[in-house]
Amino acid sequence: MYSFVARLGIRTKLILLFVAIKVIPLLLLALLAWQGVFHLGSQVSERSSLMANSVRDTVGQLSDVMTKESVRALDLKSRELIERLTTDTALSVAEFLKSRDNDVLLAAALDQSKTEYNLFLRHRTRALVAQGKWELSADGKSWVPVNSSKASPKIITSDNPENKLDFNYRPPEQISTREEQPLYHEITFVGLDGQERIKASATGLLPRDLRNVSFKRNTYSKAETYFAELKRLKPGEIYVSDVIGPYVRSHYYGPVTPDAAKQAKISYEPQNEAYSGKENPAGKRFKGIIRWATPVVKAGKIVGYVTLALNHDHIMSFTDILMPTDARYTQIADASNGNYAFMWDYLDRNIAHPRHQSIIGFNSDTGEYETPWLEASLYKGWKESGRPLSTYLSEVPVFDHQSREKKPSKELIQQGIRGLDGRYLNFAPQCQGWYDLTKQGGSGSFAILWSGVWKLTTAATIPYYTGKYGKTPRGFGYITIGANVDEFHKSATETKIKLDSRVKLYGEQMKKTAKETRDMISASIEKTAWSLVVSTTFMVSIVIIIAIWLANMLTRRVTQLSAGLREIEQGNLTYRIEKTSDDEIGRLAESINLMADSVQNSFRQMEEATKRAEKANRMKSIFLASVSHELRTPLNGILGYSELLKMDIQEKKQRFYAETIHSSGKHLLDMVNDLLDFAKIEAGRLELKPVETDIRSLLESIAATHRSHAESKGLVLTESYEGALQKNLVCDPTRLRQVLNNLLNNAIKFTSQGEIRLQAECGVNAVCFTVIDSGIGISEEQQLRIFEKFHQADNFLTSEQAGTGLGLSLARELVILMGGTMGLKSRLGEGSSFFFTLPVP
Amino acid sequence: MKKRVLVVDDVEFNRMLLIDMLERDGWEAEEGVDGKDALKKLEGEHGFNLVMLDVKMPGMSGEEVCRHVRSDPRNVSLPIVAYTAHALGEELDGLYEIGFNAVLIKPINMAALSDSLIQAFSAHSLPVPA
Repeated sequence: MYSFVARLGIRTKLILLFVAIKVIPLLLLALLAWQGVFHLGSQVSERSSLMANSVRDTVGQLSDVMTKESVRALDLKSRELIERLTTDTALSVAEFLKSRDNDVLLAAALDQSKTEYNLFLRHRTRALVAQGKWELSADGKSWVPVNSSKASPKIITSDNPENKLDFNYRPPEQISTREEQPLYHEITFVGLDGQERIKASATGLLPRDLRNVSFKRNTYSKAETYFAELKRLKPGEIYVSDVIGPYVRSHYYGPVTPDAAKQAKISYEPQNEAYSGKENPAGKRFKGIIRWATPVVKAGKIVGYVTLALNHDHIMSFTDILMPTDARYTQIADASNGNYAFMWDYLDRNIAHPRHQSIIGFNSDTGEYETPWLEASLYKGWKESGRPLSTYLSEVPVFDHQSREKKPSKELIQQGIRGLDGRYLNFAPQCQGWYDLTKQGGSGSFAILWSGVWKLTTAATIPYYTGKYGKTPRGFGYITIGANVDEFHKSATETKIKLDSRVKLYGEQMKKTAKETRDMISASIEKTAWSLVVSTTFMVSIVIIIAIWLANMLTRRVTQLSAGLREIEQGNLTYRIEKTSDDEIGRLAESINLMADSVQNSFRQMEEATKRAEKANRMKSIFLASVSHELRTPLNGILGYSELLKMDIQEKKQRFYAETIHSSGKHLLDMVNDLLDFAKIEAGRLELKPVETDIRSLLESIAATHRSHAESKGLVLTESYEGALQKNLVCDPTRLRQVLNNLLNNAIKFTSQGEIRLQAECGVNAVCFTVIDSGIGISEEQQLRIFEKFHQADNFLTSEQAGTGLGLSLARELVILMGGTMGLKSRLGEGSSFFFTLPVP
Repeated sequence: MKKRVLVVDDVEFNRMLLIDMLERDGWEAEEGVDGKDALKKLEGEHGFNLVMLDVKMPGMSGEEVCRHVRSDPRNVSLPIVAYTAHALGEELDGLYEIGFNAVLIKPINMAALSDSLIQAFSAHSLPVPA
């Protein structure tokens, strides 16, 4: 990596550096920005979605809560209203009944005459709602009123703006058609023996003949037992009977129509079936009475009893017209829609019902109560017991685990018997509820699921406590009103539906808006991303261009410097770098130029010095050559003529002179030659001429040259060759000979007796030449200095061993020049051994 | 056989010494005082069978003289000995190429002279005249 970076040019490095410093942060910034935008986008998108959902949910929940609250409030309000209606009605009934007490007391005060009684009856009337005429509808599925002219009533609005708000006008009630009906069927005066003495009748329901009512068979529906009670009455006390009337059967439960008859496989005779309000307006009505009686007292003695037989229709009218809806009243009772009112006596027996088959009545043949509508198992138990019904029922528990789960007796349905006795109506749990509400004389309500509909059902005690009705807190009995709960909060439900649809719409709108927002955000993000990419790319490009430009600018100058340096380095010392700026690089260029100046200067000086040195060397060579030449020329004469003189002169003394001249000249010549050689070595001008040389013959030749001289001194000169001496050694034979000559000359010179040995030994890498003498030897002190120049120059002219003093020094220099070394071993008086080596190439 | 030698040297005593030495060996010597003189004496049928030629002379040098002499086909096998005071080896090598057959270095002696003559004559496969 490092080496890879090191290999890159400075320009590339600079560009990479710029890119690293500028582009990477730029890209990082762009990335950050992009992430930020993306994050923001997704957050906003998510939040908007979340908000939309939350708002929708909240509104939905709010709607639910509001509706629930409204429903609850409406339900409570409705309950209150219906409970109020129930208690109001119960009070009205009680008031009505109380008035009857007054009537009977008044009647007791009347003269016991038919005229009086008729007069009494004439004004005892009360308006009852006329239900009008009804007929089977054209499709035969329901009953419809005949000639129901429904002139839409005029709606009155308020002219006074201050009354305008919620000015609610209600047209005259539709039940306004009323007919005055006698309150009582009859008024009788019964003697103490039970014989009716006087009777006045207002209707034809009861027989007009005078009967003895102490016999049950003479009473209405053979069911009245009041005479037995009358005898226990004290003056001023009032007797009030139960509701008495023959039971009316019906084989229908619901509208009495030909279809229903067909379904029940019975003949369609609506007039023979019980009246059922709107379900069977043509039916047989329950005709009942309630008899009031009180003793007639004359002179403090009870002389008989006056009785009033109340037309039960007036009791029923209290509940029949009630409609616990915004209709308030109805012309004709209708049990089919679930909104209706009933009346029950103090023993939970039904005494007023839109369906007259539900009213408990008597069997006119036996004078006994007709069988009530029993729950299936109860009926079965009775049938299995074989006992009279009254006995059986008196022994079974009342309100026995009443539950919707229980089923009514089908046998009784088939018989058309559906009289309601709450105590044994065990498949109708509301009976027990009503009982519970009224057993202490109170009122109230509860909700119950009945016929698949949630109903509010109320019960309110009729606070009438005359006679036997005073025995329990329940008084006369109680009124119940049933109402469909849904009706109460219809408006709330409708509002709820509206709200729901609004919420749904709103939700969809929110969804749409959220989607639009998301789309918008997506588009925005995309746009931002594009802008980011474009701007980042643009900026990156600019940075890269700037980087390249800067790098070029910088490196151009560096390259110029580098090229300039190279130029100078390659020898163009006159080259100077152009200074283009005053910054570091400019100063660097200046420095390089200064350096070049000094280098050039140095080179110039060096060249001059070299030239001077060369010149000096040349001069030296010329001088040497000249000296050599100029010395040789006179020496030529001296040596030549002295040699000739030596040959020519016979006279001893003169001959000695000539010889001395000759030897002196010779000595001078040797010295000149040695000096020349030295000078040449020092000037580096001595050149070796290596050739293949036969060492053995060379040695023999050298030895031969010196042998005569040695023998003239009485010395023995031997030569020896040891080792695998190569026949041919590449060396300069002239110089080798010169060295050996020098050594042999010295050896012979400094040896007076004994022998001189010339040896050559060949090793692997070198050849060792040794010259051994048995001469005077060299002291250790002298050994140290023997190779110095002119070491022996002090007395060469006088000494027998005179030499130039340059010989050994020159010999060693030559050996060194040939790549060898030279040394000696010597002991004073025992001879010397000079040796040197030459490398074997 | 005649022994006729031309000794060329600008320095008289050098010339005289060499002639003395050669005459002791039985040579009939003639003198050349400079290069031009030498050339003049070596023109045509000169009759010399040995030339001793000083290398360094004023005017025409020994080398020039040698070249001129050798340019005459009649002198191709004439032994010519260079006679010089220059002892520096490298300067002597070129002399053989010019046409010298031996080099005699000053100062001279009888033995060296004899050797040079042997060398010069043997270069032409000639015996040294007795």
